[in-house]
Amino acid sequence: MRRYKLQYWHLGILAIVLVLLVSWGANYLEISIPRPFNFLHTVTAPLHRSVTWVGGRIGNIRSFFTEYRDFHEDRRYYETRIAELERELRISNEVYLENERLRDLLNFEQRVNFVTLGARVIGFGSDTWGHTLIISRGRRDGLLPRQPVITGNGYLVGQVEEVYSNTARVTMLTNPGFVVGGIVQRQDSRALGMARGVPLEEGLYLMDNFSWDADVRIDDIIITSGMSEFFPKGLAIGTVKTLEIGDYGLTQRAGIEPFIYGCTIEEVLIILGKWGEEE
Amino acid sequence: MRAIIGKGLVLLLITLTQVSILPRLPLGNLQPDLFLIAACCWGLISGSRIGLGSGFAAGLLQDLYGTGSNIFIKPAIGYLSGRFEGKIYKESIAFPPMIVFGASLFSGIITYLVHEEFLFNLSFGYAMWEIIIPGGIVNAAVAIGGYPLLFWLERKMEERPGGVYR
Repeated sequence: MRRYKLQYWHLGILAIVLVLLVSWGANYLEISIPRPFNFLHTVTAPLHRSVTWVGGRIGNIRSFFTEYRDFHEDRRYYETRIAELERELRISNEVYLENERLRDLLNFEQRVNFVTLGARVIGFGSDTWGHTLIISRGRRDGLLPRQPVITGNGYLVGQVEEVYSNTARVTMLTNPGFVVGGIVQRQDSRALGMARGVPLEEGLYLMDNFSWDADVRIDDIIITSGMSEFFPKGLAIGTVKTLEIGDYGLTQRAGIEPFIYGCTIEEVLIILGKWGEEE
Repeated sequence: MRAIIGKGLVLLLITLTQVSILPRLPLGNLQPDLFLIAACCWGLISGSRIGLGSGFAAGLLQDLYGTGSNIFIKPAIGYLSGRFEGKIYKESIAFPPMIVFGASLFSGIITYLVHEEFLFNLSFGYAMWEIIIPGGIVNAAVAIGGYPLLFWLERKMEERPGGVYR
């Protein structure tokens, strides 16, 4: 009988099968086990931070030379703009105070201010499929899976998917598996739908399940509806760019351009609090 | 041993480039998959066994930041590419990009099929024309320069003090 001789590639296949079985088994049984390469993630994170830091410094030096000539023109523009915004801010403060008074009169629940934690984007997903970010905060900073992630100006970026010791992976809202409830931010509409990371055409993503008679218009702004336990109300998602009839006339579908589309995201805020608490 | 350490360093460099540098360039969906190119080229240069091993390492590293299916796709690509070793001139620069293009299609289709979020949310036509085929073309273009570079590195790592190749 021919004697079996162990070869390296047999070991390789065995290792792959074992990793797959453990990974799929844990997924099937919904067991949360530390992934076998979590420690590698932790080990390589400082390298990514270093590269990001060096890249940022080089970018700053280059920007100084390339953008210097635009500075004066920008300065004039921003001075005018700041004056306009200050005026709008004064008006907004008045509206805010009036709103508070009316809320008190109606005994409405106070809106909760989010507790947020800042993080730097130190890396991105390693392929073009997933649309993920790697951020510089992790379990040690109190992050939990499913916490919402936003930009500094309140645009929804996505949701924490996996948390490691010092880093975390964020699924962006342009990931095909991402879904969040959205609402039209217009006083006379408030139509509800589901914003998804399903791409329609360049820069546009699907928002469906609007009722057939929902009042949705081009250029309407979509914000999170707050119906989900994971996303608070009011996070800006995107702008409606196309509209069509779906499901044989029973619903409407919109193509929305996310606010984060085409932006280079360098810092994010993670919303901590009850939305991220695990059951 | 030198070859293994060398491959490890190249993979580390590829990881940093793929995760920290390429996404910051204005390439959109047209980012090359450097892990795939490396696994494919190492298979072509050194054969199925090395292709399988290096593909496994590449897939493992890529899945730290990726979709989670590369750990079995990349070894398969390394192994299958290695089947062409000895059938082509290693110095050829025309053939490897074609193999890389084929490997990219294989990788893309398998990725599409094994992930339900892609399978049920993206149409196959969209995935092919917007992601898989453009990605394959970019990978093949990068392989035109990447294959000779990896081939040269491999030769350097295998050189003995007397100038004899393994």
